[in-house]
Amino acid sequence: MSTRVKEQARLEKLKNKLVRRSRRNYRRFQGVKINPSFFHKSQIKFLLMMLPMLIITLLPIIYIFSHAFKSLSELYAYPPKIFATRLTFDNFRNLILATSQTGVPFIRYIFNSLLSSTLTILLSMLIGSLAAYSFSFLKYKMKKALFALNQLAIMIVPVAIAVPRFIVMSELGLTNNLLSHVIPLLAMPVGVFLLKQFMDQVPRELYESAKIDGANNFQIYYKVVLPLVKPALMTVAILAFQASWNNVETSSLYVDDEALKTLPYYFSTLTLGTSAIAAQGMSAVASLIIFVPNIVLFILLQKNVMNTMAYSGIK
Amino acid sequence: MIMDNISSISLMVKTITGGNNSDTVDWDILKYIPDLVERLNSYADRLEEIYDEIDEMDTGVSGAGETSTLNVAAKQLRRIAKNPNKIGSKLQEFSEGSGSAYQLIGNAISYMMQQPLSIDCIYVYQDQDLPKATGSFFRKLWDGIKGFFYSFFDTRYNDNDVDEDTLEVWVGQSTLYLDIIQSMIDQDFTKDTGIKVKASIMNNVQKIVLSNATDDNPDAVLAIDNWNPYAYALRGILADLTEFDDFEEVSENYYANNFTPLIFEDGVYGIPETQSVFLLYYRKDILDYLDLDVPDTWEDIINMLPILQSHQMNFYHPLGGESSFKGYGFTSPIIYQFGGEIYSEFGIESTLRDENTIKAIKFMTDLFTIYNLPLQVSSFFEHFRSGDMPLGISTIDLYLQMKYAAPELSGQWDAVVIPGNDLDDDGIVERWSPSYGKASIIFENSDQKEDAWKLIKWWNSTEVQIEYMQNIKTGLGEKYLMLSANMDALKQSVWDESIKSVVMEQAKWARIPAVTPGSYVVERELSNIWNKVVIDKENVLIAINESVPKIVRELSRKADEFGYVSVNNPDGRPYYVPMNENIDRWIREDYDE
Amino acid sequence: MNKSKRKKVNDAYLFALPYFLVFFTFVIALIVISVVLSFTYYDTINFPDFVGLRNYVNLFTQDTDFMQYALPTTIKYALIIGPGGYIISFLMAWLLAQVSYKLRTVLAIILYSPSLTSGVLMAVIWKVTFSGDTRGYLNYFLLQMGFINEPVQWLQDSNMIFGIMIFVGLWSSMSVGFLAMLSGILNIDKDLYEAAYVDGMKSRWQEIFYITIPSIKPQMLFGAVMAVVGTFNAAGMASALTGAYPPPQLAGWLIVDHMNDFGFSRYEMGYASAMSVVLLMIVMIFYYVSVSLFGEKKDKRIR
Repeated sequence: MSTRVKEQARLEKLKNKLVRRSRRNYRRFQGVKINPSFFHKSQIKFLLMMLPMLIITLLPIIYIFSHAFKSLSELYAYPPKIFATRLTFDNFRNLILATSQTGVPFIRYIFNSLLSSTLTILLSMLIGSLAAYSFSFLKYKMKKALFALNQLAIMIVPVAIAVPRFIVMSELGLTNNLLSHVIPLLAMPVGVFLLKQFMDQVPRELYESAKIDGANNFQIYYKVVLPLVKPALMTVAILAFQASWNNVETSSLYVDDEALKTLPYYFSTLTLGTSAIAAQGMSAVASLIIFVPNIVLFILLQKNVMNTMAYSGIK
Repeated sequence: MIMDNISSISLMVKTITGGNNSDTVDWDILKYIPDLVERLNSYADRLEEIYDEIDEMDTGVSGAGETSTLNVAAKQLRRIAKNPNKIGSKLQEFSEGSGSAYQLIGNAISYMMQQPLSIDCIYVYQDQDLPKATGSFFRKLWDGIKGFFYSFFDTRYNDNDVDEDTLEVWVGQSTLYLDIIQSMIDQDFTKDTGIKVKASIMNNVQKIVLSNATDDNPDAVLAIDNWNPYAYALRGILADLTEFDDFEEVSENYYANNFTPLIFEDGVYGIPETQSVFLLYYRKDILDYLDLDVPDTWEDIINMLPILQSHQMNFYHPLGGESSFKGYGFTSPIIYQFGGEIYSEFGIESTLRDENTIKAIKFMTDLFTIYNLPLQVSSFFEHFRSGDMPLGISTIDLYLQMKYAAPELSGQWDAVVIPGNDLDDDGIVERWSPSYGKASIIFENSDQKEDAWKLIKWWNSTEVQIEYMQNIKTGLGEKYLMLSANMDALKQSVWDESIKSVVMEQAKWARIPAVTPGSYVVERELSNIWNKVVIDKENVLIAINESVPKIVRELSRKADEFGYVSVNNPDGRPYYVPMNENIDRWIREDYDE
Repeated sequence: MNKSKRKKVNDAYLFALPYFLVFFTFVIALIVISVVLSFTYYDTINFPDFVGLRNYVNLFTQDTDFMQYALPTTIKYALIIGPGGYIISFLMAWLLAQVSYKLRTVLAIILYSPSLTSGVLMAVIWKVTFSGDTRGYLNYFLLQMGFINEPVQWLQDSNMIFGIMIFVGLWSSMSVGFLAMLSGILNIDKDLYEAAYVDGMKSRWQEIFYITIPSIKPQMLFGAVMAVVGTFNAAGMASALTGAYPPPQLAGWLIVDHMNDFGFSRYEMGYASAMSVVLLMIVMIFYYVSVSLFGEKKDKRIR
C-alpha cells in the first residue's frame, strides 16, 4: 500500500514538475510575445521606454480634472498648478447657477449633442464602411477615379470652403435643423481610407468561399468583413465622435434657433465676451464636461480597437 | 490688523534676506525682530478665538468651511514660530501665494463680508407648517423634465419665422448678457416705439460674412469689436451713420477719438458701445515702505527704477507681457505720447522714420535693453499680488481681478492714470492710450435702417446705458461689469466712485490708430521691430529701416487693390486717414466735460 | 453570366452611393469651388472677379513672405516631424503591443489623449515650460542651477521658436495613425511569429522587420499618409506657442498659416485658394513617395 502511495506521489510530483515546466515555457513564450495575456516582468523595460511620453501626455488629463475643482485664487496661479491643493465645488455651483438662468434648459443641449453625435457616429460608420467595402472587394468602372478623389480630399486643406459650404447648406435647406450638425460631418475620407486598408487585409479566400456558398455582397459585408475590421470601425467611431461632440462651428454658423444648438456651443456662449475673471471657473468645468465623454467613449470602444482576431475561417 | 502685521513682517524679512529664499543660509532673524516668536503665536491665538466666535453663530453647520481656514492659518503661524530663523525660506506659507496664512485670512475675511441675502418668496403664515425652503429632489426633477419637453415648443427659441417688421439684431455677447439686453428691449424700447426686436447671439464674426453671402444678414449688430467693422465698411456692406440727421446728437456723448477705427473714407460706420482703459496700478504698502511717490511721467518711472531693482523688484509694462505680439495696444501709446504718428496723412508713406517716432521706438526698446524691464511676464496679476512688481500698467480687468481674486490685499493697492510725457513742456502731461471696445453697426442692405438707427440710439443713450450697467451689477455681479463708452452714462454709472474718477480722467486720453486697407502691416512690423531690437539686439535705426520698405510695399499693394493713391498709382483717389489732428473732419460734436 | 455581372456592378454602386452622395456635395464640390476661386480675386463679401493666373504668378514672384518663410519652414518641418513623428508613433504602438491587455488600455488612452484634450497640452505645459518669465519651468530650473542669470526668451527669440516647435510637435504626434498601427500590430496572426522562431529567427529586431512591418503594410501606408498630410497641413503651432499672430519675424510660419492669414485676415480668399492648390501639389508628391514605400503590389488584391 505504502509503495503504491509513494509511487503515486512520485508520479504526481513528476507530473507536476513537467506541467510546471511546460507551463513555465508556455508562460515565457506567451508573455514575451506580442499581445501577451498577462503581465510579465520582461515587459517592464518596454514600460520604461514609454515613460517620458506617458508622463507628458498624462499631465493635461490631470490638469483638466483638477482645474475644474480649483478655488478662485488658484485658478489664476502662474505657473498653473497641475494638482489643485484646495478643492472646491464652487465652479460647478456657479455653472449650474448660470445654466439654470438661461431660457433653454441645460438638459436640452445635452440631448441635442448626444443625439447628433450618435447619429453622426452611426451614419458615418455605415456609409464609410459601405464605400470602403466597394473599394476593397468590388469591381466597377469608376473605382480607381473615385478612390483617387477620396485620397485627394484627404490631402487638400481648402481654405476657401467656408463661404461656399454655407451657401450649399442654405440652398439645400439644411440649416436650422438638427441634421445640420450631422450631415456636413458624414463624409470622412480618412475613415474610408482606414477602413479600406483594413479590409485589404481580409484574405480574399474568405470572400471567394463565401461567394461560392451563395452569399450576396450585403451578407458578406455584414457577416464576414465587418466583424473582421472592427478595430477600424471603432476608430472611425472615435474620430466621428470627436468631430461631432466637440463641434462649436455647426451650431454657431448653421443653426439659428437656440433650442437646436449643442452643448459645446452653449458653454462657449456663457463665457463669450466676459472678462477673464468672471468666467474662468465656469469654463474650467465646461472643459471637463466636454472632455469626459471623449475618454469614456474611448474606453468603451478600445476593447474592439485592440481586438485580436482569429483567422479561423481559413484553417 | 493681523494681516497688516504679517505684511510688514514679510517686507522686513525680505529686506533682511535680500530676497534670497534658499533654505541653507541661516539668517539671524531674531536679531532684527526679537519678538517674532511671541508675535506669531499671539496672532495664532487670536485667529483661533475668532474662529470659535463665528462657529457659535452658525447653529446649523458645524465648522463652516470658509472660516475653518482661520484654523489652518493659525497652525501655519505656529509652525513658522517654531523655526523663526527659517522664515526667509517659508515666505510661501507666511505671506506669499495662495496657500499662505496671509491669503487664508484674507479669503476668510472676504467670505464673511459677503453674506448675500436673496429673497425668493415671502410667506405670510399663521401657525402652519412652512413648505421647505429648497424644493425636494423630485420636484426639481419634475420641473426639469417639464422644461425639457417645453423647449421643443417654446416659441422664443424655436420660432424661425420673424415678422416682416421685426428688427433682427445680433449681439456679440454671452447669453448672460443677452438675456438682460433682450428683456430691456422688450420692456422699454418695444413698448415705446412699437418696433419688435429679435436679438440673438453672434459668437463668431465669421457669421456676418457668411450670412451676407446668402443675403441673410441681420439689420444691425451690437457689441461687435470695434476693429472689425472697418473691413465690412471697406467692402460696402455697412450703412454710413452720418447720413442720419441726429448723428451729432449721438456723437456728443463720446470722445471723438473713440470713433477713429470706425471711420472709412467720408463716413462713420459705427457707434462706440464700450471702451477700455489702461491704468497704472501700484502697491501702496510697498511704495510707502520704499518711500516712493506715485509716478506721473516716464521720467519719474525711470528715476524710480534703481530703487525698485535694488530690492529685487521691477516695473511692469505690457510690452513685456505674455504674448510676443506687441500690437497697437502697447506700441501706439508711447508713439503718440512722444508726439509721433503712425500713419501719414494719406496713409501711403511710413511715419516710422520721423524724428519723434524714432525717439518713441527707441524709448520703448530702451526700457527693456537698458533699463531692464522684465521681458516676458505671463501673469502680472501674480507678480503684483506677491509684491515683486509693485507697479505696472494694465487694464480695468486687473482691477476686478484684484478685487475678487486677491481680497487679502484690499486697501493695499490703488490705480491712477498712466504715466505720460510732457511733450511741449507746457505742463500738460500727455497720456495717450488706446481704447478697444465694442461698437454698434447697421447693414446697408437692411430695409429698416431707420428703425435700426432708433434702436442703436436708444441702446447707446445715457439712461439706457446707466440702467444696463445697473442691471449687470445686480443680476450678474460686479465681476461682469464693463465700461460704457458713453461718458455721461459712465459718469453716473454704478462703478465705484474711486475707480470711476480715475477711469474718466484716463478716458480723456483715448487715441486709437485708424484702420486702413493695409494697416495690419504697420502693426505687425512695429512688433517685429521691437522684437528685433530687444531680443536680437539689433540697432534701432537698422531695424526700422528694414521694416519700412515692407510697410510701404504692403500699404501700396492694398491701396492699389482699392484704387487709392499709392506709390504705383499717383492718380488714385486720395484716402484721408483719421487721426487726432483731423478727427473733426468727421466728428464735429463730441464729449465736453 | 450577364445577369450576375450586372448584379455585381449594381451592387458596387449601391454600396458606394450613400457615401459619395454626401462626399460629392460636401467635399468634392467645395474643392472644385476652391480651385475655381484660385483663379479669382475674392474678398468673401463681393462676388469673385476672374483674374486668371495672377494669383499663382504673384505667389512665386511677389510674395517674399511665402518664399522666404512659409515654404522653407513648412518643408523643413514636414521633413523632420513627418518621419520623426511617424517613427515615434510606430514605436509607441509596438511598445504598447508588448504589454498586457489591461495596462495597455490605460496607456493607450493616455498616449492618444493630446488629440482629445484640444490644446491643453500646448497651453498649459509647453507655454509654461518655455515661458520667458522667471517662473517658467525651464527658466526657473536653469536659474536655480545657476546656468543662466536672466530668463531666456525662448518663445520670443525668432531663432529658437522653430526648434521648440519641432520638439513640441514630436510629443503630440500620436494620432489616428498611431491607433491604426496599434490595432494592426495586435491583429497579426501569432502563428506567423511561432513559425518564424521555429525557423530560427533570433532577435526581436528581425521579428520587427521581417514579420511585423510587412504584415501591417496597409496600416503603415495609412500612418504614413496621415503623417504627410498632417505635417504639411499643420498650422497655428507657432502662434499658439508664442501667443502672437503672426509670430515674431514670421518664425515658425507655415504655409497653412499664410493661407489663413490671406483668406481670413486680409480678405484675399482667391489668393489663399491658389496657395492651397500649390500645397496640394506638394503633398501629392510626398503621398506618392509613401505609396511606393508601403503600397500593396497589385496582384494581392482583387482587380
